[in-house]
Amino acid sequence: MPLFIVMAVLIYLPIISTLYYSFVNINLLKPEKLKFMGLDNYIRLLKDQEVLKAAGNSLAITVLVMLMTYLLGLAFALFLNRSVRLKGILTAVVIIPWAIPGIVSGIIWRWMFHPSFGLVNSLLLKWGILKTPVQWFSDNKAVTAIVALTVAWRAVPLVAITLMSALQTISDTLYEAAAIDGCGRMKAFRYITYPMLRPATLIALTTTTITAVNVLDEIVSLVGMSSSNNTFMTEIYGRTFKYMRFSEGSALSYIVMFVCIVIWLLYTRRLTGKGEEVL
Amino acid sequence: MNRLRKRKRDKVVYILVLAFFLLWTLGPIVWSFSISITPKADTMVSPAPLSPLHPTLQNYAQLLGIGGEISRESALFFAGLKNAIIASMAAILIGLPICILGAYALSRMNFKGNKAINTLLRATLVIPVFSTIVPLFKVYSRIGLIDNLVGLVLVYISAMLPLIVWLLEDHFNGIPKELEEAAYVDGCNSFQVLTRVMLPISYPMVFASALIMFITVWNQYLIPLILAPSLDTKPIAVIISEFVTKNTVNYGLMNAGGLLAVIPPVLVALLFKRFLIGGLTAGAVKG
Repeated sequence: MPLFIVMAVLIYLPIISTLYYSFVNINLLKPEKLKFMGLDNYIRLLKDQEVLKAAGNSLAITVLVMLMTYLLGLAFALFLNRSVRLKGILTAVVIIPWAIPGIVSGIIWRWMFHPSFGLVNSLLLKWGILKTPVQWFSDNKAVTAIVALTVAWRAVPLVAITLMSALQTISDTLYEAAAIDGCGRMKAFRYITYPMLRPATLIALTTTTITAVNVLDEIVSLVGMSSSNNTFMTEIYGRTFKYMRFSEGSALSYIVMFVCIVIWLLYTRRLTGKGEEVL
Repeated sequence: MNRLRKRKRDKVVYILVLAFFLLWTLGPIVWSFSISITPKADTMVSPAPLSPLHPTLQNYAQLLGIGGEISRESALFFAGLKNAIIASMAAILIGLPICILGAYALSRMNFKGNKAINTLLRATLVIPVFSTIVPLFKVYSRIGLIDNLVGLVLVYISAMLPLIVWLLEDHFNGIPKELEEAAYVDGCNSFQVLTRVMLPISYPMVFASALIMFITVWNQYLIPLILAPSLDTKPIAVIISEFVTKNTVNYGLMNAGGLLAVIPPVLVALLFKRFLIGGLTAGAVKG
């Protein structure tokens, strides 16, 4: 089976090697001097201020992305579902950001917030809300928000079309029955639409969460791999390929992988009610 | 009367949402386009005017090498374009058959470890690239596969496998077994059943898989950043990122390059929207 060979050689073998790297001390200059470190790499990383900061930034980005993606995704799904004549063209519009590379969406959003040549400042100045342009990229909190916005922009389409397809599977008779029983629109949403969308929502949000934890491309083209706005991914990249500390990078990847798997298990558990039959 | 007013209010809300939707989705792209047609001299005007003062296509001409000698940017751009096309095509041609065979086997054949492999595949979906790329980088540099398209494509395929196999397997599971049984009775072997019965009726899903592979591979950044250091293999996404990190002066060129790189995946997504949406939502909708 070619499938299993490819998977074994290119995924599982490396994963195991990464685990091995994370337990030893690799010195590229003296490859013969391998030292077994046990959990030392992990303990050092978990005490490292930079790692904790990266974790904080990643968490903030993830939470913001999830909130924005869910709210906008749901809003757009409901909106697309109500558009009758324009539906075809609007669904085409909605998927455009999804097909755009993260690198390019970073570039695109960079110019929205560019201090002197950004649309946001331009508009705010024109409307008299601001007197002087805001330096969006010099404030860490603003950068986190901008990164989250950019990631959400690319993540919304998937959630929107997933929820839109799920909406189409809800039978009209449910709404008719609810209307006869005197259900208002808000109530119909609360008791029919929302619960019926739950499985699709959970799957779409799992993907979104994992994407948000693993974001790198957008950060590179928005602010570059700076250390002041580090996240899990820039931290791993820096440690591994800039400073050639393979062991630290590997250990940190394992920490992130652990986080991702926990998130995934939490979602699938909520989805099925129990741990079995994942996805 | 009340009803009429309600309907009117609905319409207003709808138009507001429509406006926001278009602004959110297309606004940033339009703005980026507007910068891309602004001549370099005008990009220093602050605050930026809402529409370009002297629109020009000079940035696009420079990138595409139209008129005048071939610029450095244009050479970079075309090298990246070529590499991205080759890599994504190769990933589809080699990867898709592997995925189809694997998905079919997992869906229809009852062998030992079937369930374990399935669970392992699902779990792989959430594993970050970094957990595999470091050892791959080390092994690749030892055996000389760095800066090699074959090596790069293999990693792309392995990264795509879990998702595509999951989509196809799920789809095969939904096809009634009677269809294949009839084919077996008619004397087909299992390979013929796959190619003559299963594939023809699942072409929308197979096509959707190819589309997803194309777009995902085209948009890859981290893997080629590490494994494709030279112009021989570097895809367009990495080249564009270098326009940002190494050439921070010409804003217009940067935007023009970014927008040109977006055309193939977006075009593919728009042309085959129906297949794509079908594929992307198949797993989630069934629940």
